[in-house]
Amino acid sequence: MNKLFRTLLLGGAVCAALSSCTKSDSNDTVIQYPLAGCFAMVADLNDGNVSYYQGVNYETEINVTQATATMSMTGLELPSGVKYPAISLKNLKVGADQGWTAVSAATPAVSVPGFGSVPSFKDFDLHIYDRMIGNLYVPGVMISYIVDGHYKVFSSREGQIVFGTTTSTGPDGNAFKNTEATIGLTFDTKTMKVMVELPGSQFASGMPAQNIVFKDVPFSMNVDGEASFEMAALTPFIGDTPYPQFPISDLKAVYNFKTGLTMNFTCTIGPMPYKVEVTGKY
Amino acid sequence: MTTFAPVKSSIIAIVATIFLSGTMAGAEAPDSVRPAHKLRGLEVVGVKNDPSGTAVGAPITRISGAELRRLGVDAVKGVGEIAPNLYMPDYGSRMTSSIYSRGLGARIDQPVVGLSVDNIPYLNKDAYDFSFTDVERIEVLRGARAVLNGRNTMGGQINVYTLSPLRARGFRAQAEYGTGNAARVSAGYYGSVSPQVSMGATAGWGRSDGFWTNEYTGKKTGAENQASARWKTVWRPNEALALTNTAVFGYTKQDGYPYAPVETGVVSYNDTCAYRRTTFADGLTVAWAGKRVVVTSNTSVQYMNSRMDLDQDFTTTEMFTLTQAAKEWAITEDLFTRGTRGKYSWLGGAFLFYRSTDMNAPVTFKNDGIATLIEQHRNDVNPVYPIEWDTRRFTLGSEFDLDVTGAALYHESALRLGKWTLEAGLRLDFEHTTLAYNSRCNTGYTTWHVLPDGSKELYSHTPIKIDDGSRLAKNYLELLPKLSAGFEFAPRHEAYATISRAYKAGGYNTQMFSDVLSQRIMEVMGMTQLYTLDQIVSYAPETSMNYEIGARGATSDGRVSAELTAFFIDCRNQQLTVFPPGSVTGRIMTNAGRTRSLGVELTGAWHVSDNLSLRASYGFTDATFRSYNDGRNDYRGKRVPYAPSHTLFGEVDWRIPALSFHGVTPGLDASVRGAGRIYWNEANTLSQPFYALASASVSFTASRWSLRLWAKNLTGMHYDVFYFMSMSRGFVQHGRPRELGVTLRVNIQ
Repeated sequence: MNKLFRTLLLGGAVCAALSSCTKSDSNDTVIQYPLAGCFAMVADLNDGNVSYYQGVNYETEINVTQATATMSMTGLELPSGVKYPAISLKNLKVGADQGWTAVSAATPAVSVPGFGSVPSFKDFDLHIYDRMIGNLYVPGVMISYIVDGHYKVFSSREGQIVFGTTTSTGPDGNAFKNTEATIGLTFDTKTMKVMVELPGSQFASGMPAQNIVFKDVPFSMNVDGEASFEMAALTPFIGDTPYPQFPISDLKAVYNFKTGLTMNFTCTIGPMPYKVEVTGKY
Repeated sequence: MTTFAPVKSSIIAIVATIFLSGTMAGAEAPDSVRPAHKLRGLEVVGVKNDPSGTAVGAPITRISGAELRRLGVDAVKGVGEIAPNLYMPDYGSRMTSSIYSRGLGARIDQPVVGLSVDNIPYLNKDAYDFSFTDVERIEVLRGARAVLNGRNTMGGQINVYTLSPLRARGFRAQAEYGTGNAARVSAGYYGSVSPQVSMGATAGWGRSDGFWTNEYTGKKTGAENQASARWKTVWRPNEALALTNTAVFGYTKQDGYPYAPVETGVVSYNDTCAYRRTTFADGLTVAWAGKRVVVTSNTSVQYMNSRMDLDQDFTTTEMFTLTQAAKEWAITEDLFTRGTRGKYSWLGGAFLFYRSTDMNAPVTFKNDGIATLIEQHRNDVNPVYPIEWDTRRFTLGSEFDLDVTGAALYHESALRLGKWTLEAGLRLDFEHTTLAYNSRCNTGYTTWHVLPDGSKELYSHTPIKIDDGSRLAKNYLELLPKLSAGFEFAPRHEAYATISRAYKAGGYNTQMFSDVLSQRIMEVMGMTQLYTLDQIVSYAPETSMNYEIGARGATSDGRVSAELTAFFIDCRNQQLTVFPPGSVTGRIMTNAGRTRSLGVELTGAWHVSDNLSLRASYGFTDATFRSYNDGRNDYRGKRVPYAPSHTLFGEVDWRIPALSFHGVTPGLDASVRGAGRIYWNEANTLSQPFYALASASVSFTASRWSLRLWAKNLTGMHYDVFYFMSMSRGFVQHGRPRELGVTLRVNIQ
């Protein structure tokens, strides 16, 4: 599986390094989660404008024994032009939420050593879904909080990987299912375009499995952690080469950073259109 | 009284059985083996036969040296059909030793029949095919032989014994010339160095032009030059101890694989096809006879250095070629003891081996191969963005280190209860196989963008740099039981039944690495590699349950003997190559098949008089797939390909002393051997009907020499011995044409 996403995973889209587990001085079990290279979508609650920033890092330390956590974040920038150095959050509570580890605090204690103004944080929520893909640690990450009562921030990784099913239905009405589908999404928050990777795709029996890529599909995102994208027509790539003989049409998709992907499109192979439905989850 | 006297009776029985069933009646020609002045019992206990000393549930075809020479058999392949249901087609080169026995067989990797030469077990079937001289006898132990012989003996075991310097004396030489400008000469000397030490040394050389012409080059294809040498030493320091050491060297150089397209029947290809092989083996047998037990050790060291070059498409186009260069070392040790106490006999031992193969097997894609197999296929799918390979030639490099270590414990017991003989045996086989590989490729291609006006612009360049390497390992453990029962319902008449389990070793098929690299290249081009390398190249052991009943008998004077055998084999986890779903190019190894094989074998011999003998054998096998789906087709119920349904052998040997003149006795020998129907594919749409090859010879035998005028395939029968598919084309190798020749033998004592 690592090979299928070597570009995605090694190209910096993964902001997570391996977590480490240690014992504190008081013999509590402490786990560190270094979540680096995330994007932050910052919505101005007053005028509704949205800005995107990259390179935000969240270093979280969870005391499993005490069910508490602290966090240090760097790289946070606001539309006002403020660029914070390291922000430290304390008094975070740790719980579980449907397989995710949830770290939250309504009003965490905030400190910004060496910085003049200290922002206020409200409704801090961090969800981590621990996951190994091959030998790589590729967790699910969702972070949201409100800064100074003015900006709502949603943060996660640009690279997303989910697993699920593709169901393709040919003109004869017969459905072909691949229940071991892997879907990769890379949300480029600078260009606001998403790349969708479908490695090992098969839409018909006997069709060779191919690494199909949809490039440069515009997307939009809301601050609740849901992205959507659609495109009337596009030329898929197989490997690095466009294949205009197999046009994609009517692409529509919704990706929730917590619950997963729902995507539909039509792939035309020769004279035959195949309607493809894709679902994927962590 | 000698220390080994209690054991001697069983040894005598062994020797008597061996010589009785393998010897034709009539005055022995001066070049045949004569019994030594007295029995050298300890020498023959290097032979690992069943403990009872008789072949309970174990049909054996014995072919004496004299018969081998009469039939012109100078290689192991020649014993096919003489032993019923044994088929060893002569095609390709000396490297291709495909053996089919009772419907079981394999073209690649592990064989189903084991081979031992002077107690040296040959672990690699690439070395099975060699020319031999001065062979004393060959035994074909038919049916599963797993308990005593272990791995890769699902279909039997072939034992070759060369002349012993204890029994042969003097100078022996042979000169032969025949069709195809084929010449062979050999010479040897056997004698005693001291009262305890006897030695024999022999050397041989042969050549042949081959029988077919490569129309493209105008040269003969199938030509061969080969040489061999053997030095055998027997040392008996005392009556309880015997040591035999055999050192053997072999060299073969062959040109051409005479494969022709089915539609033309003409051999025509442009790239080199050749095979060269150098082998060396040394085997030491030490036998010690105690008061009630005999302990034997067979130790061997083997070395093989080979190189095969192949025009893989066998056409005049520049598609792709394969080179396979390998060096292999093997060490084996078989230590066993046997003994008898009253009605109870036993044999038990341990077997160890280590085999290390270092192989380099590059595949080179050439201009036409790149154009048609890669560019055209790819550009037909995407003509708007066509690709152009960087070079018109590139190499897929593959290097392997394949090591196999094995250990086994075995035991077999026999109990005589009146007319009944009951045998039980068990073997525990363990193998550890490792494969270290490195696959490399450094090439690339350019993608163009064809514009609406027909012009093209550069789109991208994709380098393909592959340098993969890793190490795989597997362990296998097999338990192999056997039960036999024999009943002597009349003197020299016995019925028997046997149930046993056998297996063909698992491992790694290095020939699949070209598929591995092809899939890696396709991966760079956007196709998905769905299967791991281990899934593509590795295979687990193939196992069989064997059920056999039979009866044999002989007249009181031994002049007439016959044997009838019926068998059923249930073979599971058959090693197959399949096309898995979603794979772009190709194949993976799998254990997906199951076959069942049932049949009968009939052998008989009639020594009409001291000068006239008849011998015949017939085998029938109905072998079908019980399950085999290769991902594209389901072959359940189809006949297993490459294994013949029928084999036939018959011989009449007539010495005519009444026509003797000046001490020269003439003789006539006529034989026929046939095989078929042989299906060439799993779908059973192509086959070779049954064919029979008649041979005859006229001999003139004197006390010190013999001259034989011979003909093989006397009627010039046209038949095919092999068929395969390559790039959707069928290829065949035709059988050898009529051959005429003369052989002169000299034996001066």
